[in-house]
Amino acid sequence: MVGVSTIAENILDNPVFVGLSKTEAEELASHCDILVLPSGRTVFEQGSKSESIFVLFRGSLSVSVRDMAGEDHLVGQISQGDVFGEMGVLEGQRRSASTFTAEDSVILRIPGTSFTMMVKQGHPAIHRLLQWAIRKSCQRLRDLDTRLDELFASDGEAQ
Amino acid sequence: MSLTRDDLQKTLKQLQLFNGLDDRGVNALSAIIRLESYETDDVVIQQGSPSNGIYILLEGAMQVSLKTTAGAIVVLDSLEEGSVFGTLSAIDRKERGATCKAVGTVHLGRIAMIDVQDLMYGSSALALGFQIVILRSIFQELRKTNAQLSELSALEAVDIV
Repeated sequence: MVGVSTIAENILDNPVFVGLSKTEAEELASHCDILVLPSGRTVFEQGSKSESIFVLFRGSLSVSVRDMAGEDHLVGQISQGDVFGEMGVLEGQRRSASTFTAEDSVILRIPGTSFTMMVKQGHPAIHRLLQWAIRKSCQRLRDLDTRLDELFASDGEAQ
Repeated sequence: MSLTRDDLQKTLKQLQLFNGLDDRGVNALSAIIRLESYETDDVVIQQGSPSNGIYILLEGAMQVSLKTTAGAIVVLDSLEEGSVFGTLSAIDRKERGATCKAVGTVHLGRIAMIDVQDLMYGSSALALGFQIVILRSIFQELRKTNAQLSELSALEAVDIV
């Protein structure tokens, strides 16, 4: 079992939580746990209840989606420092994909109930986590918009 | 007939996107929202313009269109009551990515840029609640755009076959 002070040190080292004080990091750490997983282990399964938000401290993860025919497709990767699993918790929906470790990984797990409580407290750690997630999602949306524009353009040329 | 601030509070409390805010949060947010009305074909957001804030569609319907780099106008979406729009450029401070036009009379709430900035960079319970609303509205946009991309890619695939 990893202690609060070790979790807090890892939190302070992560770019998501840059600028957080030691006390604030320890407050967050007291609500979290750390998953130390070898390569090939599942973090969460598609269709399972969304109960936690995660931050990947070290390692990398693969994201896969199972289609209607029961076939798994790799759809993405999660890199060191990324926040993931927030969509399911904030939307109150089941996991839309599975994630598993692509190498030995260290992951911070923030239970959804702790997240909600810290939102009500206006905790700076949650502010930083949300800022990170918003920035990342905006970038993703801009990328998709560009792709959409390219598809419309190629569609127009084809006609 | 224009909406009142009481109507605004009632509407926000009914919207799923705002269900993470408690009554105090909804009331505080309502106090900074500016109420605006538009008529058919009025352009509320012009593609390429700088952001003037985030909108909530309180009554009526809107059409979202895109002028592609090839010059074609493509209708992307119809917005229904309860939609939050204009989020992306208000957050990343880049220019508006699409045009939003009123379809009939519409009543909107607008959160001005100065208030968006305060809420985005604050860490009060209200600010965090607002940031969750923003994140959820971006998730909705991501899902819609993903669906459009899948549809277009499928059409391309059919062309090839």
